[in-house]
Amino acid sequence: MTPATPKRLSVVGRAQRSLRRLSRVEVTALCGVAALLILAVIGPWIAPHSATTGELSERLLSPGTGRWLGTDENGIDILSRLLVAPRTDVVVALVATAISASVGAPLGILIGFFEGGNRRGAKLLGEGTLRLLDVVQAFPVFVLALVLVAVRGPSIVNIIAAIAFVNAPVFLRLARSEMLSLRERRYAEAARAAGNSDLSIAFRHLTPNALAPIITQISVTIGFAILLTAGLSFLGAGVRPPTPELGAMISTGAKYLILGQWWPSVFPGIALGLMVFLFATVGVAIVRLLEPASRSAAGGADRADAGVPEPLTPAVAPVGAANTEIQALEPAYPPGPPDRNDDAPDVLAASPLRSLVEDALTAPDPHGREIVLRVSDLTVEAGSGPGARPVLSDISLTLHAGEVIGIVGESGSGKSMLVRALLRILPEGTRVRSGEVNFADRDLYALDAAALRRLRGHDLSAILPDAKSALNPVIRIGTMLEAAIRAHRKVNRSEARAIATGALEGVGIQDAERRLKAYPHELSGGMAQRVCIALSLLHNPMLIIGDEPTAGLDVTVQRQVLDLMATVINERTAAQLIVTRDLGIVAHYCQRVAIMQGGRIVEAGPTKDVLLRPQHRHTKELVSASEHGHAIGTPRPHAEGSLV
Amino acid sequence: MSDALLEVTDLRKHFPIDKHAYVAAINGISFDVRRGETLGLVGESGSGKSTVGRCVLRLLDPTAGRIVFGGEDITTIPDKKLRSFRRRTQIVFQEHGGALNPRWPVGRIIGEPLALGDRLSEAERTQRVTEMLEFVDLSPRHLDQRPAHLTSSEQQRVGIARALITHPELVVLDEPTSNLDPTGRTEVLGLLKRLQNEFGTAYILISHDLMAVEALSDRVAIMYLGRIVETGRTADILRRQRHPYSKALMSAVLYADPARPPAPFTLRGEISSGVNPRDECSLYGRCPLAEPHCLTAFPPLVEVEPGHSSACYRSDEVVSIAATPPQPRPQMI
Repeated sequence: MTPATPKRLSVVGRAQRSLRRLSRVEVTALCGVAALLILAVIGPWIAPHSATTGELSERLLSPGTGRWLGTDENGIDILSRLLVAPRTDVVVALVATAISASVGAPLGILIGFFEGGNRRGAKLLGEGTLRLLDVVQAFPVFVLALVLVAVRGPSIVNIIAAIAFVNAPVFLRLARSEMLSLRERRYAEAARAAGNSDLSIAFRHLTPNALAPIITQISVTIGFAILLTAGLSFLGAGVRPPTPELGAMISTGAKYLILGQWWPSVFPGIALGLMVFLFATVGVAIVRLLEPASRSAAGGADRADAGVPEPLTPAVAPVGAANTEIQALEPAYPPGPPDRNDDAPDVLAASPLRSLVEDALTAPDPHGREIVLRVSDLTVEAGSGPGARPVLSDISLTLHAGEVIGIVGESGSGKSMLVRALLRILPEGTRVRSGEVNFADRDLYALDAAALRRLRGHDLSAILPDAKSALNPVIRIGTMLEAAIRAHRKVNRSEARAIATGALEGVGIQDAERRLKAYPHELSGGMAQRVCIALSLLHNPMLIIGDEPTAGLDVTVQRQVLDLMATVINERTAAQLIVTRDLGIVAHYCQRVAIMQGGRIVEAGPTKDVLLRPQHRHTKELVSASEHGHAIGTPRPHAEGSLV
Repeated sequence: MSDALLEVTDLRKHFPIDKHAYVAAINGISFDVRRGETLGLVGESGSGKSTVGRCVLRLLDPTAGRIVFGGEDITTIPDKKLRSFRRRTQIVFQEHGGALNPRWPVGRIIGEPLALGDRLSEAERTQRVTEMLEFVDLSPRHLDQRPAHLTSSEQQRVGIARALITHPELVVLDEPTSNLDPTGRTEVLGLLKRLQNEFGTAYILISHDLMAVEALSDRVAIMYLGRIVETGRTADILRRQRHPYSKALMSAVLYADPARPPAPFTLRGEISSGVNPRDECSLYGRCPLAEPHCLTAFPPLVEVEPGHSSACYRSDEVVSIAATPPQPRPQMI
């Protein structure tokens, strides 16, 4: 899905492509707002009757009867008034919002940017402004606007000024908080390192990235300003009749409701609601258009897999290319199960690498251990219909009790997708097309929700990367463990607590009683990962899936965690599936390994065979990329393709 | 030293927590970087190595110490002068994607340092950007793309292109290879090497990836809790560590070779917080060689062999000791 040939699109083409990212409602809303704006200009010309004068003889005509929406108490055509009203409401709202945004946002950007810096003056100034705004915002907006208009008199200019005044602080605060977070981004630091001045960083680099929320706020504010205008007019503090204005129309029409003459007030009410809705929706749409298109947005699938270059076309290019190499090098690799050695050459001739992979991964266990997990010909596809493309293809593997298998691949190789498929948490838009995942003799994808829930966290558990963010930050460790225990076991709280304490001690956490009261952020990375391991071990699972279990940990801590996983899990004879991109982990902690690329397993076998005698081109690449490690400590001639 | 491009003396950076507590991210370190060489700053998270990189470029203001760049003291120069200094230095970040403005096309990102300083015409600038793009193995079709459309290796190469387009004299590489796939890492390391040969840039390579350090560095300084605990030529440090921490760090490397089991030398526990550090060996609680004497004062960095210094009272014994102290065995539930 990488845009291999980005064409320079024409403006129209680009607009079309952008519009396609919007939902139908959003496109409709865009058109609606455009229509409103046009109406604000041409309203008086297309109105079928006068919008300000009417015949008293025609007062309060009901809808139909020659007047589509009827007439009001002055005999003025309501449709005409509705067509002309946006001129007042929309224009007042637009101008007021424009003023408040253009005053508030730049001020907020400046305050936010400099307040985050080290200057004391800027900090004081920012602080002072904010306190002042607190006072202004302490009054209800409507009351404030009402007072302003009451003091200065109800003219259009005063209404605009009032609405702008009450809304400017909103923009200032929003822009400020955006800036405070944006200025900590790495690219802001990069811009400073490149020699940009402060103002240039604030306005050239960061402001474009702060626009999205500001634009949303603008559209919300426009809707709100329309309501405010109407509200002021409704109370008689805004636009006065006979100027067509929705609030005034509702106000004058309201008194006829009781007489059953609903149309003078209900139609303007509907129009008002519609306008507010349109602007709010358009805000969301515009933000969507402004977002830098990401790969995931374009592909509609998991980001990692969206980057696979031409993943799974029928022409099995990489495999085919590797075939010849394999035959040239070592035709008998790997020694399959003994009883099949005789017909190995035939198999090789037919579809060499495929069968090698399957043999190596599904061969019967020499120790006769029971099978925990059997995946057969699993294919998962993303998208639907003719556009569907496989993200996992023909994955087959078997895992026995007490065995540790490593799944290795680069980002986009489909290894994370495999983990999700095995846990049955495939992302939206992907589905299993064929094949089976058999866990402890049960078809995982045939289980109902309740059975699946009993399975997860009990027989089947997962250790995710970045333990600290995998733990809920507002829940204490003890509470988390107890909940996990009581989800599957009928024990009371104190029993659960005792089990939790034992679980933490089991993963080498000293002072477990005290740690139970800790929140995740109070733990170091290694400690948090230990807690995750303890969580995953609570119910003596049959299979533990570790997705990059030591990613983000320091190397000295990584060793501790890996050793812990190895000892603790081995003693329970659970099976382990470790997903990683580090061949070093595989080399010392996994008995078998499967190398993935483009959603397929391209090579598999006992770890020693695969790492010492890689056959597939991709495996060779990976092994040679890890090669520098060899030279550390004991200098030896560098392998081909290495750097120094 | 006349050929030193950068000389750092007794640099300190404290981050206050409240009135009585502070974190000593850098706790008095000195080093120099010569023109065209690479100094590897190695350490785990919390060691202060990234803070050193930022202080040296004056992206952070040091609390104390002296930074001399090209013979000029830049520790406290004002903003205006700082900007001309910035044109001679650059930084490459760890967050390959996050370091690129998501709304800017690649061409504009790479060309920005040029646009800020050199008075080049639009055409010349485009020319330079295209050349640079080629140098980092990206093609002109990338010019108009946004960072989100690139792979992480491509994003990192854009970051590198941006850093080197003005041919700076010193580039700080802050974990340039972490979060990259193995093949992406090889590409990036190869690229950095080529660029250094081409432009004679000096690098400060901040990394915990020893393979990257080995591939690029001439000299290495190992940091632990804001201090340099060992420094020397890369080959010496990788072969014969004279500090227990360095030794544990090297032992923790897992080789992709099943025939080479990980070395048994390990430390207990994890790095401590660095709040209000006391004057004692900061590795004390974790070190298998620790003895009461280690608590008297932080061991000075002394030369143990030519060009190789260690801050350990028992540096002579480090080489020979290989055994792990008996670890408390985790209890089963």
